[in-house]
Amino acid sequence: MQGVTKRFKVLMVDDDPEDGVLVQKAIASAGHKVDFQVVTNGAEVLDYLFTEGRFTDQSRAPRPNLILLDLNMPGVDGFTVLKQIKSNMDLRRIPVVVLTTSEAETDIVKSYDIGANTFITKPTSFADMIEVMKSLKKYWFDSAQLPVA
Amino acid sequence: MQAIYEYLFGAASFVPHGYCLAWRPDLIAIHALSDGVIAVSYFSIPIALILLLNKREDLAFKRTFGLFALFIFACGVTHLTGMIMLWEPYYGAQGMIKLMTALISVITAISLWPMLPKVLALPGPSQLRAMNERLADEISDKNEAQIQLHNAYSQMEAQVVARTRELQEVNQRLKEDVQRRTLLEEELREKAELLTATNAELERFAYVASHDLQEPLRKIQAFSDLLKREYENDLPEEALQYVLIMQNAAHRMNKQTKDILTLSRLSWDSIKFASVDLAEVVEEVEFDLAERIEESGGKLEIGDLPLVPGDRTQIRLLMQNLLVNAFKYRAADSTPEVKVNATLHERGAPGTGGAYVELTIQDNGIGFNQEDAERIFSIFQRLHGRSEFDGTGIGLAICKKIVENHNGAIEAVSSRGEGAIFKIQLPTSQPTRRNNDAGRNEAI
Repeated sequence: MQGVTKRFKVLMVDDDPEDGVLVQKAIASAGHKVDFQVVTNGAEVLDYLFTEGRFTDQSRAPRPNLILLDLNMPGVDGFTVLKQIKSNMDLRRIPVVVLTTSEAETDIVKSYDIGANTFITKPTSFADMIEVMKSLKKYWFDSAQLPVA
Repeated sequence: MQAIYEYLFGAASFVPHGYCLAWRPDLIAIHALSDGVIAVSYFSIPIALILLLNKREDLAFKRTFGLFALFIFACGVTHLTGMIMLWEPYYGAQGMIKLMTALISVITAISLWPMLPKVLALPGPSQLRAMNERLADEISDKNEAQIQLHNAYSQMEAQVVARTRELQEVNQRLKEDVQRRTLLEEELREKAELLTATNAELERFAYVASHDLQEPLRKIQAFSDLLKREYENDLPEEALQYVLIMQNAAHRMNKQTKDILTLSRLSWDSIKFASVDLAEVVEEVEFDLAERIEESGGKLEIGDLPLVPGDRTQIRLLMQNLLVNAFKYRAADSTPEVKVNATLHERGAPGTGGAYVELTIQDNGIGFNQEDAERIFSIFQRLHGRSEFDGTGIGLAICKKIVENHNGAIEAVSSRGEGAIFKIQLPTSQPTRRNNDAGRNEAI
């Protein structure tokens, strides 16, 4: 219901800005209107979520409804970010979709163990990326009930 | 006393013996001289005997010798008294002496008889000589033997010394050999470790390379998709054609890197052996390939398939690759017929010689020359051009790796145009776990 008044906010964490472009394009191609924001490293996303550093102004860091998280990032990696999110009483309710190039069983298991809500391997074709965004939208935006705040 | 003296030496009533000889000087002289000489001679004999007795302690019949000495001495005394009797008539004393002598003589004579056999038993001089000679011979023999023995001993000692030296040399050589061998073994172990490390590095390299290659590849694919999608109407037909070629190439490379990734993972990931239902696995693969099979109008016949210990994901991949190939490599106008069967063998498993399952995948496709039967399991070895049959040239290498991971064996039998049979031997017992990276198996 919140979609009626507020736009759905998606925060993407990926050190590869090209993937950010691809995902944004795919979301647009899937016909969604969302607030889409990309941060390119682990340390930055933690600042964003905890409104620290350059995100102390909360208006610059609106709380996301869904996080798309890459695992393999220099410095603070996706697992650390996921751990921080899922061990925070307030942030843990935000669904985290791991969106990574990895297909490794160990990464999948580790992600779910830490508390990832979904694990998706980045599709190779753009058409498949659109399909992924469509299904994410269908599930998280349309079907699932998420807390208002 | 007087009476005894009188008896012994009473000469009142007797005349001396000389009187009987009418004191004829010649007779007196003969008797006296003879008796005297006899007496002296007789006295000398016991002295000689006693001396002999004293000198020869080992003499036999010592007591008899003593008796003889006494007997001869007594005889001497008798003759001495006989001589005295010529002038003095002590006949009592002479009688007593004769009596004594008689007694001694009798005892000596008596003692002599029983001795006779013993004396006779004593070896005579000739016997002794013979014995002596024999002994001498024996001694000389013995001496000779001793000399020979000594020689033999010396020879043996020399041999022992030589042999010891030889042994020491052999020992030294052996020691050197052992040292050399130890060194070689050490070297071999180091080489093997190096090889394992190199292999591991190579596999890790393949993994990392293919993994990292996927990233830019994905970009090429995704952005060429995007290009086509967003600028389809703006680009000339030829440009769109180029984009399509790029996309196809990227798609192929994507498949290839994925296959390399799979192959290197097969070398890296450890295997947990569990009971795998081959019938179920083949059924799943059949389901996945249903469209392809239907499209070709072919059929898949599946015999009774058992359970085998294995890694389900890998076994599934193995069956998938082999079945895909079985349906893929066929003549354009033919209908593929593929048969999957299994037989259980009690012994002869690769490596252990134990029980194993032989799985056969038989097709009626184009087949290949038997001389290529081994080559096809090597990575990137393709028998056909891409325009004929699509493929990465990694599928069968993956199959081989999977079978090796299961301590089994795979072989292909075919002749061109006659279809192919892939035979896989999988042991019916496996260790619980196999660590590829550590290169060792943990036994059950």
